[in-house]
Amino acid sequence: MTVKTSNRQSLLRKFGQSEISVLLVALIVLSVVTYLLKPVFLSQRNIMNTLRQISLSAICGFGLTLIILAGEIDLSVGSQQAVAGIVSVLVLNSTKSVLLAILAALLAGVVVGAINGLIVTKLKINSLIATLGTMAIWRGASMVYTQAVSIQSSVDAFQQLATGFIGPIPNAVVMAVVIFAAIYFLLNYTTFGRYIYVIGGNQDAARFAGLPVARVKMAVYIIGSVLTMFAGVLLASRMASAQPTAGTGLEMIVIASIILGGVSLSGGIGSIVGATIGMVILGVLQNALTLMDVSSFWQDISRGVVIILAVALDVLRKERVAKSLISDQKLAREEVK
Amino acid sequence: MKRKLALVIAALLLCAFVFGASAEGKKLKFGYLVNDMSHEWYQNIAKGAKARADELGIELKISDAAMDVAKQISQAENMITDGVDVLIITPIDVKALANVMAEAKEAGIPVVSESNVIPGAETYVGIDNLTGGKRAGYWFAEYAKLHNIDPKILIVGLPAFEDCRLRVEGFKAAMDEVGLKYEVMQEVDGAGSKETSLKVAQDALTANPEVNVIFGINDNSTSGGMAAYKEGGLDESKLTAIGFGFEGVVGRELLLGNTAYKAAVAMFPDYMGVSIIDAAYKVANGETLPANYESGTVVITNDNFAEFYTKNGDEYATNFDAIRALMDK
Repeated sequence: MTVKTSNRQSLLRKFGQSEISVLLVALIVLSVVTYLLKPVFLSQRNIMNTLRQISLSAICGFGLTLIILAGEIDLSVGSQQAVAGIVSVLVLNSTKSVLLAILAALLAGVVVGAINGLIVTKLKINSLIATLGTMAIWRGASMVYTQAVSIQSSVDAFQQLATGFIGPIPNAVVMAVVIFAAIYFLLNYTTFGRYIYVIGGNQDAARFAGLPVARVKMAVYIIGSVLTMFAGVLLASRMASAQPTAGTGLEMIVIASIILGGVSLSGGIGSIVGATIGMVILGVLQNALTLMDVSSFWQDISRGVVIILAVALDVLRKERVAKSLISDQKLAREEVK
Repeated sequence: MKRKLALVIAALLLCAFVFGASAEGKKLKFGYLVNDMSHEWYQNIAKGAKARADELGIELKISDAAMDVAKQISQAENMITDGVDVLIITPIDVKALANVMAEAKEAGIPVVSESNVIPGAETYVGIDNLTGGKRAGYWFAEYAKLHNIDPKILIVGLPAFEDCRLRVEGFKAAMDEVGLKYEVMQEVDGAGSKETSLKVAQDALTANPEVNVIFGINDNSTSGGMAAYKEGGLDESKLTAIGFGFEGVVGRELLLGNTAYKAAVAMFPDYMGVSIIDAAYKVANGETLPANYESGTVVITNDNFAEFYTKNGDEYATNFDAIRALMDK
């Protein structure tokens, strides 16, 4: 039996890996085609700019990947970014301390994430609906508080946070890489990481096995919001201001990239590496389309096509897993015979 | 006979009293239906309208529909029942107002529209986006000649909205008209927000690093483009940025802050508020207005800023007289 289980796991892992290689090929093809049409695509400046763009949504996406792996969703990430910008710029303007501004936003992230987590685990509201609600609430609160007017930052050092460089590499990219490494470790080398997969794979089974389902979900929501808020601070830093409309539509792009990267929308399946490649692909696609002067209306259409493709991949993936499980069962039955 | 006389005098006195009192108390009453007061633009319109109504001794009632069409309709009906003399509307959805227009007509209440044309309204008060764009174009053509600029332009637009397309169209038309040689390197869609403008402008500037002029359809678009220019490490001293709107602190700080932001087409939302009251006042006094009652736009630069704005503590007050004088010209 143990042999069977490990067989199945290696099977799943193989699926995952083959999907990652497909994604990598897609990314390379996209890059080569763009390069041939617009050689400036591979200039150092464009690579760094694009990576910085991707880093901001990726930092948010890393947290959201945990939430999706645990079988839940958070649609409020875009609105949270507006809150992050407002909290950080307000604290910044009154204390002149960049560090305090960041800490305040992260603390707000803990609160916001805990609220999402409590609604999902205690009120037992479907997370799609729960976070659709909080998405509207945070956006509305940002509008009410700012009266829809942006707040300018009065501290120049704050801008350096996201626009500065460490050597040739933008700060934001370095931060994203560090956070990626931390999440990779968390998912692959800790009990907490394994719990996330188990709970996302089969919540009821996890509960019967005595796993702390509610606590793990609370934790992923809090981690998710803290990371989203951090990305929101970086966004405010880039814009040197808190924009009440910041992050509008972010959730769709980030969720689409994660699904594209092989993370199953129903949880339990996928990897942070795949999700990251998905985010890079969508980021590069947007960069390539603008470089090639494709009209924004066509960009919308292409983004829509990619989202549908991503979900279609997800459906296909589930069918393959189901089939492999059935063939496993057949094998097991034959052995019994 | 004496009694009759007394009766007549009493009757006359009564009449005089009644008419006199009604003439005295016949204060004009206007109703203004705002689409969305959470927007700074409309807050400023309302502020200007209130100030102008006070000046003219008009009672002004303002209702905010917060982008809810059904709410706007019921607010309109309330105003009609209330018997306002003129109804001013910033429509959320023009098509939804057909019944309201019919009811107003039946009640004999003229309607003045702001920002959108409503069929059946007396006049439409708004800025002329094409003319505004042209003003920017004329200004820039002169500026380019004076500073020997070979214009390579990046336009940060919002093509989904006609108003914004007209601004760009006017800008180009004026430069063509005066024979300025220029090249539009790319037109991007900044969605009117600084966040999107920054993103798309960054990619466009990578493709066209020779850009030395940025024209944005609002202050967020221009400032997003400028942020991309700075992040991209391009030489900001070679850049000329032109904004449109100039309605808040963003544009003002850029203009006064000695940045690449050299000029903006100011739309003076508070003056728009003055204009809607002026238009409604004229309608109430039986004047016939043109189909489009234009509220002013002016190209604001560092040089003429003080002409149009007076600093008052931390706030800036708009000099309505200066705009009025310019419009009358």
